[in-house]
Amino acid sequence: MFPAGHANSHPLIRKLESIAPLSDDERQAIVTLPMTIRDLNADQDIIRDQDRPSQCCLIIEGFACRYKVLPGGKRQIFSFHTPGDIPDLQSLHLQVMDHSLGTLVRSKVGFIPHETVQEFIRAHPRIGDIFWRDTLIDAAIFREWVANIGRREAYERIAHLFCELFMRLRAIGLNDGNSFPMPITQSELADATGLSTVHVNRTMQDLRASGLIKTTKKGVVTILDWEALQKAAEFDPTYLHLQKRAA
Amino acid sequence: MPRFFFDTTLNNVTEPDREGVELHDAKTARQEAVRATAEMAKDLAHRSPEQDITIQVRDEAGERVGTVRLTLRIDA
Repeated sequence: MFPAGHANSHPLIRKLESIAPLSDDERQAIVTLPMTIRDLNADQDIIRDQDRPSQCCLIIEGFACRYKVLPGGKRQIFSFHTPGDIPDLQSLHLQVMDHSLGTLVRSKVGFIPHETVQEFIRAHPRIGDIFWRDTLIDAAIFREWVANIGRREAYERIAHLFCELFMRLRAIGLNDGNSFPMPITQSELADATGLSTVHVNRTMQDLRASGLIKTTKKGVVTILDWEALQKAAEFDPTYLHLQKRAA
Repeated sequence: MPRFFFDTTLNNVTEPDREGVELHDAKTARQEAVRATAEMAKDLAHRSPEQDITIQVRDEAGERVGTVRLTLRIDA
């Protein structure tokens, strides 16, 4: 179970409230949702392609990604996941994993048995609806990634990814003003954007030289000019379907 | 892993790489330079159809590891 008294900081509550309102009862139900919490190292697989998981995994702290390694050894990262995400929610209905899920940095994850999730959804059908909404938004993010990787140039493409991560992290309160944690190496960024590490590195230098962003070695990105970054990325946040939080 | 630097010259304007990228070995660095050259050409193709792109790869000691050159020309 999640430590008591953490209703406001429970990552699943923060995440779900970023896309739909929750009632007090629903918030309480989430806080008491039983899960087994584990600390994982960086670059550790949570589930692998072809596995048949019997539980779902909630990211509590850290960063994870969905990925696939092609037969030639090249890796494609499909999506990045932040606290409050349940990246393998699909395993409730799709028995065999068609990709892998792994951590990018040291992370804390909560494992919830499928049966528990199913009972939870039956007891709180509106949360089931919100999970469905989240799954649809997940698909919307994939559509945007297809357009991004398929049609945008490296500069716009990487700028777009920064805009997306900033909006998503801000929605769950993990930003610090215009700064946000992005503990993703250039090689991982290359695997996510379908570019070579060298081109990613060069493009990052261009983005910094244009005064759009600042980065630290510890993986903190600061957006120096949000308007200009969005313009450079052709970024329209509609696809994230974020809901404004009640103050 | 050793660090390699990729100085890029686009139509006679050189941008030195001040950061470098950590890669397995010199062979990987040359392969990465080929990929990066092709990606830059793809990005630039619809802005200007004719391009001269050169990436010079050097190691941490400043020794030349290899040079990749790509020229795009339209013969009409």
